Amino acid sequence: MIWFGGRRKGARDRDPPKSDPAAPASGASVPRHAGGRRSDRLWFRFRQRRLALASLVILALLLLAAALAPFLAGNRPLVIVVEGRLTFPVLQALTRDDVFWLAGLGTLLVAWPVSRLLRSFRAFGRKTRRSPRATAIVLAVLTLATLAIGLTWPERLMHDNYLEYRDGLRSAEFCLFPILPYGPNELQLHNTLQPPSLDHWFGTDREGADILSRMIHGTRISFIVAFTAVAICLVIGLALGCVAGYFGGAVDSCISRLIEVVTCFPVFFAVLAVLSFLPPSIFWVMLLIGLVRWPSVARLTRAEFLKLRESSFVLAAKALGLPAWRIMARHMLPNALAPIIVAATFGMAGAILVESGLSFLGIGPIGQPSWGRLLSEFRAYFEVAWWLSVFPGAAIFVTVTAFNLIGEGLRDALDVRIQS
Amino acid sequence: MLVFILKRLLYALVTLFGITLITFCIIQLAPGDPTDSSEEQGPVVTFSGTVSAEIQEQTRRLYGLDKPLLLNLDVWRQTPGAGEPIGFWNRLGVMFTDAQYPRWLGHIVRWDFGESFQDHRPVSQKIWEALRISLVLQIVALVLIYAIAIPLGVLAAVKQGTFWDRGVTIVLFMIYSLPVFWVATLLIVFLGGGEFLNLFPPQGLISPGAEAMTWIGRLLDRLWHLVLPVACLTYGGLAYLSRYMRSGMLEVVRQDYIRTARAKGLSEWTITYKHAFRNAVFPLITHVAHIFPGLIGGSVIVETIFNIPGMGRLIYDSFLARDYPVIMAVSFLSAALVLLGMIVSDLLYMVVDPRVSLDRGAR
Repeated sequence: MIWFGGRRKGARDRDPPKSDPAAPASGASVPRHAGGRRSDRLWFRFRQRRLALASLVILALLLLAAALAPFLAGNRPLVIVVEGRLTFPVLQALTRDDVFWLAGLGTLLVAWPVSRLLRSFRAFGRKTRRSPRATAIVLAVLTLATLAIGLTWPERLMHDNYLEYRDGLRSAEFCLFPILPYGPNELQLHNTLQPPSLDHWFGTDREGADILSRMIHGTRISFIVAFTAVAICLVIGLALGCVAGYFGGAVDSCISRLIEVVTCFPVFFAVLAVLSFLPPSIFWVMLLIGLVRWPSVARLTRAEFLKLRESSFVLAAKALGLPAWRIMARHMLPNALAPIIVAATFGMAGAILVESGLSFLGIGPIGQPSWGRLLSEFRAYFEVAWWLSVFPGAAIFVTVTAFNLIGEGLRDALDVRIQS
Repeated sequence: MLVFILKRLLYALVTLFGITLITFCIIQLAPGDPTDSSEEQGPVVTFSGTVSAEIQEQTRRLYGLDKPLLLNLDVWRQTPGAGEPIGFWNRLGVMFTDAQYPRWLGHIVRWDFGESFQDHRPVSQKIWEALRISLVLQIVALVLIYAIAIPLGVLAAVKQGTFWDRGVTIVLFMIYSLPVFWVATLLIVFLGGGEFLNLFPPQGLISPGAEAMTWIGRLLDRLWHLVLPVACLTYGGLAYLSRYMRSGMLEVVRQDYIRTARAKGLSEWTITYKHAFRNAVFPLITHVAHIFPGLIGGSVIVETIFNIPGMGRLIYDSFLARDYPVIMAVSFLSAALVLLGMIVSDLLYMVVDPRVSLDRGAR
């Protein structure tokens, strides 16, 4: 059993940590990690699965592509020198979304070294050496900063026609375009339904937009939906599951009924029924996916809590007179997290599938490129343009598989017995 | 056993009640009044045009939109009118029946879902036509899932650790992650008369000239049309189930009675198929409760892509037309259908496996 994300208080009452059956006996790293921090142990076990590790790399690359989308695919030059003047059009044209993603990426990259640095200070040292509090503080500050920058960033529209430089109609002293010099919403009406070529790697759609460019920008929606929907699932599912498992009895049977009721609604039917009353927006889609899919989290949490409430460390905490919320949050939850984390990873794959399925049906945000919407265009042209269906679908497939493989890897690393 | 069945049905009744409550809550989401046509908001405009006053009146009656929501508490405040005096029991009765939710519940119990905004036909009739088609698809898919997944799982378990096992496991894992709409589009593009092969019809359930065929021709024609959609519905559950079959078999093989059988000198075949297989296959029945919702949910995409007039297609079309009575009826019935699947799988499991105890089955 591995604990993380909380103190190990009381955990010693439970069965002693087993020696690691998954870790091979070879190499000196086994004893080095046997007594190390639990996140190190988790990472060590996770690394054993090559497919899971590869999936992690793929997802990191996809996230990077999502954050750096305007620098990878766009019709504005990264750098241009005209008449001796040096300008960066791509920076001037950053939208609120772009800034949001870039700042988010910065947060992720900065949080770790900064929290390490904070830990090294004496003032923080005592308290933070064991708990992840420093990391949490840094992450919270940076997230707030990201939100602040992202929300206050002015929307700008640039009217300079840089396409003339790209297409060779005008020339500059120096001009560097992104690798894929086509915007996601740039319609080249003379270039419709082009098969994949060196210019357009994945071809163009019926309006002449470059498919790869749209796919890179569409990565964002998939990830935003996956994270937000799963976060909503976790909030609802953890809260209800904790309460049901901790108190038991009548509370438990009420919540169990609720879980069964929500389970009964097939995802697509429920989401379609509710969305028919609401304006099309990605916000509602995310919220609804979260609202429909939380029962799996709640069921797992409830089962773990039912097991844990019998254990002696919970009894000890109760005897100390701690309030119920504290026992739940600080003593039981850290010990119940392993299967929930695995389920959350599988849940992200599921959320991406539902979102792309909805946008495939033409439900969801209009105007933003998303993988499902790209795929839905195949309909009218399935006799002439195979690339319309192959590439966007492959992107969904790769992302979903990566999430599922990571879930499998985590399950083995955490020694959890649940199925996807 | 009878106690168990009754207990299970009672739980199901509570759940069904919850389903109706949630469906009713969704109706309340409607902007303003679903049938509102007051001056400020303008008439209700749908994709197919303006809803006629007659339909609005009919819906108003169906949902009782002028009444209170859950309980008619007003009745306690009213002073008895000039007519007959209202006694306590009468008031109690009115309180529980004369409100939106109880009225709506009453309509549902009487199988009355109102009329469709689109073509003025009774919703129950439209749903019945769609349900028949959907159920055929789903039952065929369910049978195929079990028929293919069980042998595959057994194969992977018997040959544990070999090339076969690893191959089957990896392929099934990949298949499990395939988005159904992508598979459907690829099947159409590559097999259904796209740029490449033209083996199967990409749309509908019958060919244009099917009426003229003999019954066997019509049957074959129907089967020919079913191949692609059923394949799309089948593969996900297939991958899911065979992984369970494999782990179930591996679990059983470790049991003591298998060791005993081996010690008796029985052949591997007998051990696998008479001792291990039978014990591993029963728990799979409970997974109907897991696969069936997936099948029903997946039918929205599959039926829309292949243009099959089933339940999924019905709710999608109604969604586009903002046909509220149909949407609400279909989403309620799909949830009820899933619940039915759960009950059936629980009861079936109890029938085939006498070891199942009371509290294990009744969750």
